[in-house]
Amino acid sequence: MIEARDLSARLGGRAVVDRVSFTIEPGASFGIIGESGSGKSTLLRAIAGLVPSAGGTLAWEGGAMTALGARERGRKLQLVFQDPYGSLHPRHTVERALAEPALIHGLGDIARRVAAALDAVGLGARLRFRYPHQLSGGQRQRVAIARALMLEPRLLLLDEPTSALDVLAQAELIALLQRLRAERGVAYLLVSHDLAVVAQLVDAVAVMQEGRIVERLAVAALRAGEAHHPHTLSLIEASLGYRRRAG
Amino acid sequence: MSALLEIEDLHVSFGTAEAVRGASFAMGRERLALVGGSGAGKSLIGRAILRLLPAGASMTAARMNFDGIDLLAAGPREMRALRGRRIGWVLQDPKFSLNPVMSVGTQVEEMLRLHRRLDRRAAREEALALLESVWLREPARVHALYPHELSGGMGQRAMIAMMLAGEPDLLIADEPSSALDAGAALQVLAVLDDLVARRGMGLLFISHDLTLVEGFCDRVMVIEAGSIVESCDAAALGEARHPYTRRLLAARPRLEAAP
Repeated sequence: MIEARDLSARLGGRAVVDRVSFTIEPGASFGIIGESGSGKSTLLRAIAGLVPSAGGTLAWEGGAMTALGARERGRKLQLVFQDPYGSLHPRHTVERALAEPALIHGLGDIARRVAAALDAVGLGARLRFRYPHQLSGGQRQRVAIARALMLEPRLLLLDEPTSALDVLAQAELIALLQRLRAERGVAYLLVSHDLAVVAQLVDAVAVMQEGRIVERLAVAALRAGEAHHPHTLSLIEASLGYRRRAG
Repeated sequence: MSALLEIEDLHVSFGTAEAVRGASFAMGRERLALVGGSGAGKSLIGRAILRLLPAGASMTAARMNFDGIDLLAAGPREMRALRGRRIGWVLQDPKFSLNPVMSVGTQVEEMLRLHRRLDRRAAREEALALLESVWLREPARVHALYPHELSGGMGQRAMIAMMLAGEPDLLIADEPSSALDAGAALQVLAVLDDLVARRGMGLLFISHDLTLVEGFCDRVMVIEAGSIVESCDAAALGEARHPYTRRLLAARPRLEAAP
């Protein structure tokens, strides 16, 4: 469905994403793991068209992504950010935040669509007149996902969607994302530094370091610790928690 | 042995809404974790000890002693003398805690001159030593950097270096590693660990990450809706009994476990 080949992106003259290639089939879920600064968020932004690409190609169903207008691209893929506080307008109600994409795309029947989107993410209709600051972190992230679903995209780009949440809200959001994918067949490209979260949500991962993919593995291999690249092994080790040095 | 910090029946309220409901605990020079979900009241306990509650909050307590000092009776002047000097405070995001228009080294020196009355040259030398003690390589280079030039993990270690300038007996660390990726988080914890062991400092570690706390702390207190519902050795966290603790434990995503 989407294929990146040798995709690069530069920020301030530096190659932050360096010749990255991957393919995601319809309904599949692919994860990219790496440390802060490894270029994984920039890669998502380049795919969403928020950062210009500096080389390589990006194809959607065989055609060049650049041939799609911004609006058409928006109906195919949507981005969900780490911190919904930053991505939801503080003075727009939930209803307005959700209605906006439908209005921009000239869709009818907006009230029904808003109600359906809220229902899909497990939020009650009574929350529709709240402002972002009147919601919990988990609820805000659900609103951000509901908004991303308004245009019924085929691919969700998820940038650390649970890392601003506490462990209880995180578990609920993971369950929601698992259910949405099963029900709707929407594909995910999930970026995170949290291996345990990624392992709950994807089929396969790529490990990024300094802008490059250094290893690819199936999620079962990640879980079993069957990695080969030293960087992947160090990420796995770090995810197991704090170990006091002996002596 | 007398406790470093003793708190009895602490309440914090916003108007009629009670956010901390009668918390009591005592700690020594140990690593004590305070864990709970968002809004459980864990940060407010840290703030109440420092008497830095947000506007609109009021507090009462039966007793609040720090190393023989009655914090409830301490005036603003005494509290100012304690904060930074004897009780340090590290917050989640160094982006918001460091002064963006001052170099890192200057900020550490400011603390040294304020709390330890060092002259300019001695402050610079001590600042470099502190930056090195939190495992920042090339302290002279880091000294001249501004906060925006640091990674999250470096910023947090610089923040800890600043807090150490006062040589505190108690460090309150409020989610000090939550904004960091796992590798940087472990490094910050290793720095804290080293300081507790070497300087005999007490550490109140506020977190929602049970996996981290389990391996890092000596003891764990679990707080739910403003009440401390369970307290146990960190190594025994897996056998915790309270339903809320069980929920927190069960909610942890595990790398090894299939969804």
